Amino acid sequence: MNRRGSILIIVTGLSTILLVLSVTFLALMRGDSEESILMVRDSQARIMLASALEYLQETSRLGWRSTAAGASPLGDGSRGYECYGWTDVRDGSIGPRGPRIDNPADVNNGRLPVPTWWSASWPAYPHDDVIDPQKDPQNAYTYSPSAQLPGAGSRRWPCPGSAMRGDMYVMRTAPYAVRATKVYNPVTADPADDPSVVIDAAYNTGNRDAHRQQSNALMTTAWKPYLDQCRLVDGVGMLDPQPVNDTWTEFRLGDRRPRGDSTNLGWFRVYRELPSDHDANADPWFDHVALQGHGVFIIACGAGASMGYRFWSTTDPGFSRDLEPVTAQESGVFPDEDMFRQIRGNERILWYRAEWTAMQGGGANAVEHYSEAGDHGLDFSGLFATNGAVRGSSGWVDDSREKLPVSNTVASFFGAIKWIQRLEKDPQTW
Amino acid sequence: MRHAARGFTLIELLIAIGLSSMIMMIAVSAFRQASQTISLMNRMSTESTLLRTGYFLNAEDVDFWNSTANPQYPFLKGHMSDAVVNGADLGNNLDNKRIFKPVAFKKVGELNPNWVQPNDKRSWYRNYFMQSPRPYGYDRSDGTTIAGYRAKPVFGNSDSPCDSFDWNTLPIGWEPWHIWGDYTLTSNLGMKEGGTPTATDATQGARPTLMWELFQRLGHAGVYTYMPPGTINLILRPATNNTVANIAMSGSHFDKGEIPWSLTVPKAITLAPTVRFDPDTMSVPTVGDVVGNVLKHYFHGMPGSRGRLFKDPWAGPVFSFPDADYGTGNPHWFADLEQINGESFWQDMDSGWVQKQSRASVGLFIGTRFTPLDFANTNFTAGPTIDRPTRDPWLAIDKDVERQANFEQSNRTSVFARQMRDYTSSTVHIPRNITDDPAPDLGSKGASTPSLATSVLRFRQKGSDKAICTIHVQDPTTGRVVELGGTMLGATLRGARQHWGWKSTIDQPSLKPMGDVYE
Repeated sequence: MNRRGSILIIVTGLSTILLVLSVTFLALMRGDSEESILMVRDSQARIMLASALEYLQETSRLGWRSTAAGASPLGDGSRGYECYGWTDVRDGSIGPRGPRIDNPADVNNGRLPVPTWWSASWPAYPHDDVIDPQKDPQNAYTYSPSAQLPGAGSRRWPCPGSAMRGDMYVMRTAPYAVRATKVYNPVTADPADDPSVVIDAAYNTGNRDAHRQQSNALMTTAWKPYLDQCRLVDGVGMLDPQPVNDTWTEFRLGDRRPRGDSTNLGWFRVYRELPSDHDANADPWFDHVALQGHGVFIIACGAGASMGYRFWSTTDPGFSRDLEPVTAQESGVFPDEDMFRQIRGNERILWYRAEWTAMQGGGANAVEHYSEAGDHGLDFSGLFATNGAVRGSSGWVDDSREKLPVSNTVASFFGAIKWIQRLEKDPQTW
Repeated sequence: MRHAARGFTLIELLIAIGLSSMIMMIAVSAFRQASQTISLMNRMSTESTLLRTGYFLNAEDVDFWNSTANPQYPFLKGHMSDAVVNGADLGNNLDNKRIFKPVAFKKVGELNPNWVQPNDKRSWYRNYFMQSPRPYGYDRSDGTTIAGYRAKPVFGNSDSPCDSFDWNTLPIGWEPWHIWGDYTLTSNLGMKEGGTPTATDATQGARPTLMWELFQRLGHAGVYTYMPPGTINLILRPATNNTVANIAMSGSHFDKGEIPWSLTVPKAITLAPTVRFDPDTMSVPTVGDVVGNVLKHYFHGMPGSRGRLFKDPWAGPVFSFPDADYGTGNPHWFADLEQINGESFWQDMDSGWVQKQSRASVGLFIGTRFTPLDFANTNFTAGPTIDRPTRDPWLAIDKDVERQANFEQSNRTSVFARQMRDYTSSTVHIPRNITDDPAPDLGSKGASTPSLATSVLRFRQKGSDKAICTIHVQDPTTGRVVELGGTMLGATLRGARQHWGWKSTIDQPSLKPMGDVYE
């Protein structure tokens, strides 16, 4: 019995060791994984910085079309609904605002429009009221926030002094989504045809006549049969890309509902600074650089499930309708306050400041852009062209074919970010 | 009858001993395995912890540029391209942190055309301080494709053969400032001939003075930082500052550490191919010329449509390139800030300034890397700490590096390697000396203590400021090396300078002043 007992003790001991090992291992792994979550959240929050900057760049030019019923594409100057930057490059005014009103019947014809986002209940939009467009560019950088902006509490994005909330998730189907699949060759070939004819017809370089534009046609003889196939016979696939949805309405609207596995991960908030936020008077604490224009923003990047809501209710410290038009409580998204605050407490938040500039880069050729046609002609055809378009794949160019002085192939038509500054502590207003 | 006490037979004893031995062996083995497992777990956990720590250190570094700016950061940080050793500090001094040297800017409102105010739009702004608000064109009637064309403003000047178009006739919204916004693509061209810009002579152009000031104080990093992506300039680099001693000289520290070497160096015809791309051997304008800005147009720009460099519309070319000075190898770097190494020119025997080289690669490398030579971390050198694919990000960017047969491209590879060697900021954190003693005290370091080093390679590519971060963990016990790499988005240099300007002058005045200070 004693011998059996000894063995039992030994076995028990070994089992205990294994158990301790297992528990220790699990505890260590658990601890590591929990700590790793912090790293993941930090990374996620940092990714939101990229999202916020892209949002700022894109919305500097797009996205401000008035969707109100009856909104006139002429009356609001939103022809094409293209804007000219957070700081309007035409007169330095508060952007984004649309193109000049181009309607002889409009008394404001030729003038820059009031931004579509500028509420009619707000004070008169602060811009240089100059009808003569030839007097541009004017300087409307400065204005009186107290007199020319809506009062505190009434400001709504993108008015200076307001903030927006960007809940980042993946839409089920993005508006204007196109298929990610490759498009097959839509040109059907009759097996009875001579393959060489089918394949080479459009490239029949030996037959010049086949490539001459016909007098009453928009395409050459060589291409016409094949383009006809696309237009008239089962043309799906020829036009690339192809839409995901089958109808125009579905294509246009998409399905903006979030994909389930993409929610509660990250968000960003953007606050558009007031002039008083960058007049170098040390108020707020980061205000030590005097800046002009209307393109300075505070970006809060978050990783967590708060969807970017900052305030639970209107009684939260620092609350302002300018920052939170709809509170977390009012949104009805969160079951109760405790849950919301717990979510917020577990989030990783980074604060940055960034300044937008209208600088586009892209190698716009100031020389050729204006003088390519003839010796000193004026030709806009080269606008924003890049020599990447004419360069061969080798990357080596023959200067005689070179059109542009720089291979600046990344034109950002949404401006650029002058600088990014990390704020090491809560800027309070965001 | 007395029976003899029953004992174990020999066989029983042997079996018992054998079984016991087996059990003991199993037990010992189990304990040994357990011990090793615990050790392994601890090591893995330590590595994991160090990697996480390294991530956060890197993330903070990317945002605050600690390893480049903060004098309180752990020792062996990289401040600049080369260490400027002052006594025993091993280069850990403010002199070595040129890109964070304090610059006092004036606030908005003072209408001094030569102000140094990168925060003021008008300092860079469209037509007001640009000598001509109009883009330059070429008078194709004046010159040849070989000799070059005379450059003229396309619009406006009555004496210009190109004045048939008044700028007012441009469609609304198509004026250059509409296209380019608050910066102008040719903003560096406004300097007028005839003298050094002064603080009072607006005709000399404000922006070049601003750029010149920044250039002198901060090197190319300053220019790149305060000019947005897409700005074009031409940089003439004096090679005489390519020494450690010259780094600290305010009059000659223009590029070391900031300019990407991979910018094409023009072919010096008199030099052998293997030499002519070496910045150390370039024939260049003298430092004296540059300091006094006698050369003017130190920042030049807008080469002609046929690869011909821009010529001054008023006084002709400042440099007699490409024709008169042809072949002597005046080095000109034509840097497109959008992709700093984007496109470059060099002189060619046959056709002058006509060739180009596409280098959509990297630029703006800052700092010095230090690498533990041994696992005990007692010796360091400027060697690679990370594997080659991570260390050579341009291998993915620059597709032609394997074409060694091509001289230009092989040279490109070599300069990249040099960039990587010289301009990555690397910091060894463990062991560390929290007192910022430049001479690390390694006496207290345990022999088996793992080491952690982080590196940041900063560059701007295609308009984006990027920071390739690596975390390097070494275990001296096993020799195991774990590395983690990634690219982070964070603060730009100007953003970091704004941070440190405030930090050092207001928040922590005990720090040495650095960064942007706005008076």
